[in-house]
Amino acid sequence: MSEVLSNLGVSDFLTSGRMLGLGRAVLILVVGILVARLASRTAERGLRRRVSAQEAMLVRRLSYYVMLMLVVTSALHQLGFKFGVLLGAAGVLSVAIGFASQTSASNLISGVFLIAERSFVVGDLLDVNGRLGFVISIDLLSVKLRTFDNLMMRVPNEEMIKNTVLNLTRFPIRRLDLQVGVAYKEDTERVRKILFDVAERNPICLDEPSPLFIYKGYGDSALELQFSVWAKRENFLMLRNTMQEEIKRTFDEHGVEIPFPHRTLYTGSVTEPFPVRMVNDGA
Amino acid sequence: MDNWWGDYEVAEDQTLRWQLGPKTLWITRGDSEWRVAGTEGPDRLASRLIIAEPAEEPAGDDDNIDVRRFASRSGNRSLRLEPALPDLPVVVRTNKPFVVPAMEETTLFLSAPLWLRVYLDGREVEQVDAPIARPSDTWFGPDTMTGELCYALRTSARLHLENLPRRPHRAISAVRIQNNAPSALPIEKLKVPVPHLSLFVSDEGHLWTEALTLEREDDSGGTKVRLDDRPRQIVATERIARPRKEMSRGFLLDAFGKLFVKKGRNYNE
Repeated sequence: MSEVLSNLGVSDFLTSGRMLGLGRAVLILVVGILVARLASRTAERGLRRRVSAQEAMLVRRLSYYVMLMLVVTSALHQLGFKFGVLLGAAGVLSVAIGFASQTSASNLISGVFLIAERSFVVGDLLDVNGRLGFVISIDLLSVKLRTFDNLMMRVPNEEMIKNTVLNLTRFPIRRLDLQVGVAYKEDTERVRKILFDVAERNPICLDEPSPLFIYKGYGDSALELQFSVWAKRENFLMLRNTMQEEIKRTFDEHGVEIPFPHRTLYTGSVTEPFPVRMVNDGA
Repeated sequence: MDNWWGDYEVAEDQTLRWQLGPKTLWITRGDSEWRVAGTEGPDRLASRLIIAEPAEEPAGDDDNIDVRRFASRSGNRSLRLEPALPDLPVVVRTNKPFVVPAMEETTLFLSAPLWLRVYLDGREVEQVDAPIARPSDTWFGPDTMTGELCYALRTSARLHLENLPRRPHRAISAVRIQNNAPSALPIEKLKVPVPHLSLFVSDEGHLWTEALTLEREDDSGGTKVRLDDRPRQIVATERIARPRKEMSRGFLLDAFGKLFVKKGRNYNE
């Protein structure tokens, strides 16, 4: 048995310093990763009260990766790797790597700017290219959002920097613009009063800033009005439903007509006349 | 005026009904539960008062009635009703723009809406804490980005106490405004920190908050708030509700505001 092992060179390997180095490397790796994880989490917990959630998360990740790099480097060193040679090779490779990782690098730098700019934080509701989602995390390469239909949307940081992003939850109150069309025969002063009464009766509609009434113009089949009301941002959806429901109900009660597009058909001289039916109501 | 707050007994399978202004409240002691039902009428300023009248339990399928159920196996039949002040500050408007000249002081009276707390089975913690008449939300701040959410009072502040209507579901607050600054103080709206106030009951059965003084020292920054230990305009009072929030020493408040624009003539587009 020992002969076989000696022929394979295993016993040489076992008795040489290499085995010892490998053991040390594994030990450094295991202990190092545990320490890095523990230290980065402790740092995040300590910072959480003083800085925002995403900055604490960033500190945890950065400190973890820096410590991980140190651990891997010292483990490799134990295995006998010479870093001078590796760095020389890295110089040659850097051009190739630079071209290959162009997108990642751009996302990485965009990520740093996004976090520094603080236009949104974890938990905010964003509108990115017409899609709405709550921010789950802001990472170095991408921002992860949860959409209303519970899908995870990953948006590269570069895109977030380049495009317009709407933050719907930055300010505590929001305005809802209701487009209301009424028939031309209606008295707009009366309609205005009805709309203000509806707003006043709704407790989630803010008293101040007061509602805004805009006479937008003469539409194809209706007088176009805009009625803008404010609400606490959490009540926005409820305001939208309750206001539209209440406006429709009150208009019906007061006999205010909400018209739909009208078409008048002209038959012209070349077409047949419209058929007309006489109805005898039995009188 | 009879007091609607206090301790009550409800027999098993019995329902009691209260009518506090616009709010109707039914409390039923079931077999092993309490059922608390409430609904709010359209007129927030109604002042009807019915106290603990035996009634039929409302039908459960009415969407306008909010029903809450609480498990209770103790067989305890006692319950307590308590008034409380709103959980957010209230904003009151003056009838017309009102100016307090330099080194002048004035007292304004306002009536704040009340919340209703229901304690079941003699518990220390309330099971229901809801507005008797839900006031409108409003925003108090220099712009739409900075400020605080408050409740809007539909009634305006009065200079004379006798002009203030007394209602069972509202509490009277006297706010003394001292303008010690060298410039005049125009007031269009006033924020009153009601969550920091407590409730007292007068001999006549009206609810009051302690007297409040707002001191304006100079043109910049907040207003100093001082609380008396009791209402100043009435005698022989008993404190019946503690404040929701304790007021810290040297509490500063942004109490005076201007309307963004006059109602309906709005140019913030």
